[in-house]
Amino acid sequence: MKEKFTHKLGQWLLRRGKFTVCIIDDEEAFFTPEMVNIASRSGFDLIERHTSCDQNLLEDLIANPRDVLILDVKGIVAPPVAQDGLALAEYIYKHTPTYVALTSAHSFQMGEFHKNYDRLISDRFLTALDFVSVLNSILDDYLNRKASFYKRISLRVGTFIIRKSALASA
Amino acid sequence: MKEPAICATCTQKPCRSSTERQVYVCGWGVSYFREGREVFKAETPNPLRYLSQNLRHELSRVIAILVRDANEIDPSLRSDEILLSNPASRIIGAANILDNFIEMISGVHSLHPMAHTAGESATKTSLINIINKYFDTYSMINNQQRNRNLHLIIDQNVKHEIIYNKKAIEYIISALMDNAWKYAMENSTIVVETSEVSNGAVDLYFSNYGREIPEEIDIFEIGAQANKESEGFGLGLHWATVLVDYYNEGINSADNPLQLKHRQHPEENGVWVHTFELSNLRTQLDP
Repeated sequence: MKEKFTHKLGQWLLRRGKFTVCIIDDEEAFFTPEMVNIASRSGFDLIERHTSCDQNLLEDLIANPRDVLILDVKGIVAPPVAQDGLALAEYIYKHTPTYVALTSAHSFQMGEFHKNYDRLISDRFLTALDFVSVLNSILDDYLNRKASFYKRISLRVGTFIIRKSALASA
Repeated sequence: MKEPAICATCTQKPCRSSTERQVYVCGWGVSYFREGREVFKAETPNPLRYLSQNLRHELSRVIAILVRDANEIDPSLRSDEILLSNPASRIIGAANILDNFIEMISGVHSLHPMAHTAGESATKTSLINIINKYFDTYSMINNQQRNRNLHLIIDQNVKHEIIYNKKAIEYIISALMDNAWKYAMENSTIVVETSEVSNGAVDLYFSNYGREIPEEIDIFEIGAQANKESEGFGLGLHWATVLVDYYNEGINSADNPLQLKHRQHPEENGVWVHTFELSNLRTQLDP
């Protein structure tokens, strides 16, 4: 009962901190609804999943920057919106405070673009629990490098509580 | 003739030490011949890397489907741990094998250090987890040429986390484990130990019992086989050395570079102890 309460408190704090994640990947086998579901139960319940980025979404990402953007390199965007996922990542990285994470089956293409994103997710084949670990790691890095003060407090306390309650119930 | 752009990413430069006036095709799909100090190059119409990119691109989605569906059967699965008693987890293990095989066939080019300058895997990279994972994963392949029963002993001092280029180290360890399951003696033991070097770097030792490898065979050379009945094609250890080069290029360190070495010594009854040493591996102690 106590663990359930503390878990819910942690989730409430995460929601207060409004940690928003946007995923854009054209392959539906990656970042599946089940993975997003399980991530949501772990406290990450503001996750959007898109298969492509059109002009409307791009404008929304600029006007309402998400905390984290996870992008596939290929297949998610076309001109005139952007040349490819790398170009899209570079644009968002330079024009918003969003933490940009890239994922691709062809990571060797990304070498020369290393200044235009925050993280390369090199693990390609993630299970749902792997994905939660990735999000936790990204959240920690985001809090250290890009989060505002208020967000940092709310999210740090929220994740601390959630992780503690997860350990207690394990 | 303009040099192919891909040559800029090649660290080994086999073309420079090739036999003069003989035409070769390198792993990048560049055909060349050398005259004195000059190397003349031209790309083949369909370089190997195009084929390997295509292979990687097409098969990645298939592997993702396997992982997705295994996860649907069991939502508690993790990819960094294989539970041999769980069929869904074994599917993840098989997907890992496929992924490593694709890397090997495509020449591990996707693991070039240029691709990883932004950072590493987001998940923890415990050395023990990697060793256990690949020991269990490669135990799943059963045929007449492979062992069915090996034991793994990891020294209690192995408590390190990989802090750089986890994918390359995973591949190297997976190649060593696959080889052990192929070539070690049945019912024998693989022992993994470490010794501290400095500033967190360690030397990692994999030892197993097997047959003697003739002195004249360089097991790290592409296509090397200790005997004609070998199940392998002599690619895994060669690509491991390519990854060692990539690793060193990424850390940009002339001092204490990562090295992969092999030595063997005889024990009783015609049995030999083979030790693979991965030295100067960058790690930190698992808290």
